[in-house]
Amino acid sequence: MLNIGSIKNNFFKAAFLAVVYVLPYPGLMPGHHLYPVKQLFDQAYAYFAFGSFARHKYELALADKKLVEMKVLFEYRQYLLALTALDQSNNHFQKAVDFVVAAQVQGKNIQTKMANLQAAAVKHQEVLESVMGQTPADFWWQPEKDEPRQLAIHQGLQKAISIRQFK
Amino acid sequence: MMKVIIFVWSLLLVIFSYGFVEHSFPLPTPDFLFQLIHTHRGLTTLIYIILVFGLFGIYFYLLRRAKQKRITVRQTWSFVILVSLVLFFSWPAFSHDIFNYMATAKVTFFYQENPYLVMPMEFTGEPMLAFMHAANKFALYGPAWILLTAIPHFLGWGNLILTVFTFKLLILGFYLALCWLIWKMSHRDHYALIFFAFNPLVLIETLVSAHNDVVMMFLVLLAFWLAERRQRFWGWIVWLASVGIKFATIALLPLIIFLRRFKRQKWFVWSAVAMLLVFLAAPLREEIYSWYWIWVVSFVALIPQKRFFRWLAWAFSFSLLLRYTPFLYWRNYGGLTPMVKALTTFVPPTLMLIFFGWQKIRPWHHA
Repeated sequence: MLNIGSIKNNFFKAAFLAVVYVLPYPGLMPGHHLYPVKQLFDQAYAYFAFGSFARHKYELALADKKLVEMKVLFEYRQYLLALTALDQSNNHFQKAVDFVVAAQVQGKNIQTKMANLQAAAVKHQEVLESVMGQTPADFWWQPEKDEPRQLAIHQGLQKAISIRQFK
Repeated sequence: MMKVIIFVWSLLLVIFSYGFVEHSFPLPTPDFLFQLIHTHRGLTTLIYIILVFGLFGIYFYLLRRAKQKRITVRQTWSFVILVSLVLFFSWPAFSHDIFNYMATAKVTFFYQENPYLVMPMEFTGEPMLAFMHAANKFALYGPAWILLTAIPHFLGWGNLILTVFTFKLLILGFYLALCWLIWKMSHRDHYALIFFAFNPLVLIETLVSAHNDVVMMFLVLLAFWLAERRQRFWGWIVWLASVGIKFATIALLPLIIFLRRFKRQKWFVWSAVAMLLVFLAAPLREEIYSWYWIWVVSFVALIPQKRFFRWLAWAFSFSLLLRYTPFLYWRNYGGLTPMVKALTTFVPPTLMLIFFGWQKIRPWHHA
């Protein structure tokens, strides 16, 4: 069996971890009448997740969930909702990174957290790239009672990928 | 004379307990003890059984003296204090739970993380990981317990050995407080006090292994005591704190709601029954642990005139202490250990039930 400790190159280590990194089931999706309750619960849970490690885990779990949510929404061509989910995923991922950095400042050993974060980043990029291959670069969104506006889908996806390409 | 016997027997248990110090723990074990515990396992098991029998001998002797009213208040309390002081210095030999308490406290108060979301093993390089047995578990106990552990955690000043004893001191404090409460609630009955305080299972699981069950039981009895004095509000708060230690006393909620509908003794009987049911349901979650029996013994101590409960408490106290013997002998949890553990747990109480059943049908038999 391959031992992760024996892989010296960081890129290959992250790639190996990405294979074993499993994204979660997204649960309730936007449009479901209980979705606002779930969002409220997720927000309230942040107060329970005190401590840099706990908060990092919480933020990363939400980043994962929102990413899967985004993928499903893109598959159903719910572009506006998908981009909102993508924004939320980006935000949570960024915070997950921030809390690992905070943990390091507090003197905690972040080696395993970083390895996990890198694995998540590689997995996220894999999903984002696959979505990019299945979606138009731009989309004109026509709300019922408003002016149409352009949704820069690929630009949004590209930005998400670059957020996950951290050092 | 009795003081000398209690002192010597407790001291033997203290010495024996140091043979079980984990080899990865920074506390050297005397070589002869290490050899005894790890090489002569048959002898170790035999010594353990002799120590348990000795504790039961002291227990029944003191109970007999109390029943005959041949023991004074001063003597009773001096025996309790003596056994507490000696066993305080024992090593938590038969359980690693104290290290889980310490680790959870460290996760909370040193690393300032939520112990319900972060496991001790997530702290790479943490020295406690070398000898912890449940580093891969989130906090198992209630928030009230975690808050309480701040005291021994900070008093330990980051020193592992000192922290073990500050945790033991906390447990010792609650043990004495529970003894005092049982004594008060039993209208200063020596028999009730000895029934609880000298029960060998209570001694080993509380003063040696430092389990926190006495904290939960002290709070639940204090809740009843407060409610009895018409301080219902504080009674509820203290009961909630008790649930916040280890959750098991949630089973007493219906009895607490309908407290006034019960006569005092009936309330204790039904509380003992409720805790017995929670105890028997333990395998649904994990397995029956011997220290859970403290939940029942604490109530039975208040109804010692109920012969059935009294004998049941003794039978289980004896059988649950024997649960350690297959592990002491084989040193693993597989193989024959689970079967022998189940047999040692249930055979003595079953024999006791048969004996009681036989006594019940005997009048009919003679008629």
